[in-house]
Amino acid sequence: MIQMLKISLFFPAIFLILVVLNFSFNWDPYLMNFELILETPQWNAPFGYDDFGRDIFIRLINGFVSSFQIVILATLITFTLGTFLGCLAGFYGGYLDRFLLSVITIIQAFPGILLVIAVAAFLETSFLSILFALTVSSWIGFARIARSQTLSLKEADFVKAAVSMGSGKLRIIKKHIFPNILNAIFVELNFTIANLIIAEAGLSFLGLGVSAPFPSWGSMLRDSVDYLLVAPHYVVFVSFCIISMILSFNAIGAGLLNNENK
Amino acid sequence: MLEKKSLSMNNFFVKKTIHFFLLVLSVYLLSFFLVRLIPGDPVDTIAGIGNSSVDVALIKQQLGLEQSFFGQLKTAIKNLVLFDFGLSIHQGLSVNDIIKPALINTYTLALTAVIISILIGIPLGLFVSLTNKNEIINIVKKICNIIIAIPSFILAPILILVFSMQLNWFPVSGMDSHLSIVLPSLTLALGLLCYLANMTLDCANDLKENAVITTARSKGLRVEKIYFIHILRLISLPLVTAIGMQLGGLLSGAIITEMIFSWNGVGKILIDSIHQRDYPITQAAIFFIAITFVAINFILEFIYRKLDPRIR
Repeated sequence: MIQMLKISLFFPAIFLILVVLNFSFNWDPYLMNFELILETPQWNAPFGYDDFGRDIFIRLINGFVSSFQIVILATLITFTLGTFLGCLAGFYGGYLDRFLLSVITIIQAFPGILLVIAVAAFLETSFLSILFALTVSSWIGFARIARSQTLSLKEADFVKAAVSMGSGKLRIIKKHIFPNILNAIFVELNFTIANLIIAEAGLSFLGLGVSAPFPSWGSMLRDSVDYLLVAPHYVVFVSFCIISMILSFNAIGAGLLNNENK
Repeated sequence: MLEKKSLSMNNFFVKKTIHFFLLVLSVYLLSFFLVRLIPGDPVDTIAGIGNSSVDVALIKQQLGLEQSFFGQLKTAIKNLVLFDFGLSIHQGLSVNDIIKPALINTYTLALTAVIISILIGIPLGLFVSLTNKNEIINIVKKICNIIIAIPSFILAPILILVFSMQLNWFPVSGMDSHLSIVLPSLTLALGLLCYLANMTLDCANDLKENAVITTARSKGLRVEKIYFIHILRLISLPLVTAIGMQLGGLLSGAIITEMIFSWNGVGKILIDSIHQRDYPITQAAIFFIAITFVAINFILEFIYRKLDPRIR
């Protein structure tokens, strides 16, 4: 399993190195070369050129930066918000718990990325609105895990001992419950990242994400679909990057899950 | 005893139905108050620069924004009961007339996808499990796991590249011929198909040592028969749950798939209306997609209860 984790970390790691290289050499994702429009891969451009004669490889690296800014930020916010609310609801129970459950049920009624699309549809396209749309729909994953884990931990002896010694509820959550549910949350974290990559790419694919000249994986994919006939290399390289990134984070999550169940 | 049993079933039914309608109501209210998310005045956003005051008044009336908050709430609930979703801002048609044919197209697409994945996925899982070779089982599981993770907006271009460009079997997009449905439904089906195949494979492998199967074997039944009758019946429960869980992905995948293949479904109408800022259509499309999902899960819960005598 450890071996599988190493393999799945390989691809994100390569991209991180490329991002560092990108910033140190100042590769330009907007540099257009009209003689090279839709040219196939060659030595100085390993992934070929796009419909404006821009280097696809460099644009993919820059797209990774802009997509991952949103994804990582959204993950951090949903992680904090979801875990906190889930722990509170699980530990306090009663009306708070019921309220959280009904909110979760309503949000779950919107399948997949529908809620993300719905929220993004009514907001003006900007970094913050995409972040908001992604956050609104994905915090429930953490909340559900945190809630169910807290519910089972509530009956554990060490928590009962802490209660009988009179420590405050928030302190118990912080000191005794949170550290113990962290494993399960970390597994969920990777699946959430994978789902957010899909949602973000889907949004920009539909033209609701990061706007035009700015590179993003979803919008690059949409452009490449227009040139499917003339330049199949464009779509192949962009989809390869998105798929490998999703598979990597799914594999990390699955690896952690296996480790935990052992 | 019998009476008590039927009462509990009735209780379950009543409770679930109330729950269902409450959920429909909240989804409806949520999707119809999303207009309030629009920064500034939504009417100005829709009407654009240089709008006349008549336009503004008309749009305000169409969105129901001229009333107070509670007035809007009352109208919204009244409209839900009357099943009236107002008029489209740009096309002037009633939203119902636009959504209805689109819904039929989307349901056709989704249903075809589900049927394809059930008809191929489950037998595939059973056949692979029948081979009893660990290498084949592992390879099939790995491939399935990869395909499950691929989102529809990547699957679709790949399928077009292979089946329309290289092999020239199916049209690239549109709804002109009968063959047009193949690629979009395949795009939607592949994820569910692989999920079902994977699940069938796992369950069938677990069941190999089960007493039911040993008994069937000792009676001298043929292995294929055991698989397709006994094991299939035993694994039908987790499969129904799996279909229910994967349907969400299928429905939201349909939005993007319809865009790529220009299939005139609710998803395409939703995205088109977002770009045209035709908010009544957007609201109704979001509501109908969500309600389809909720309703299917509601029905699946009853199928689940029918299939499993233990929880009846």
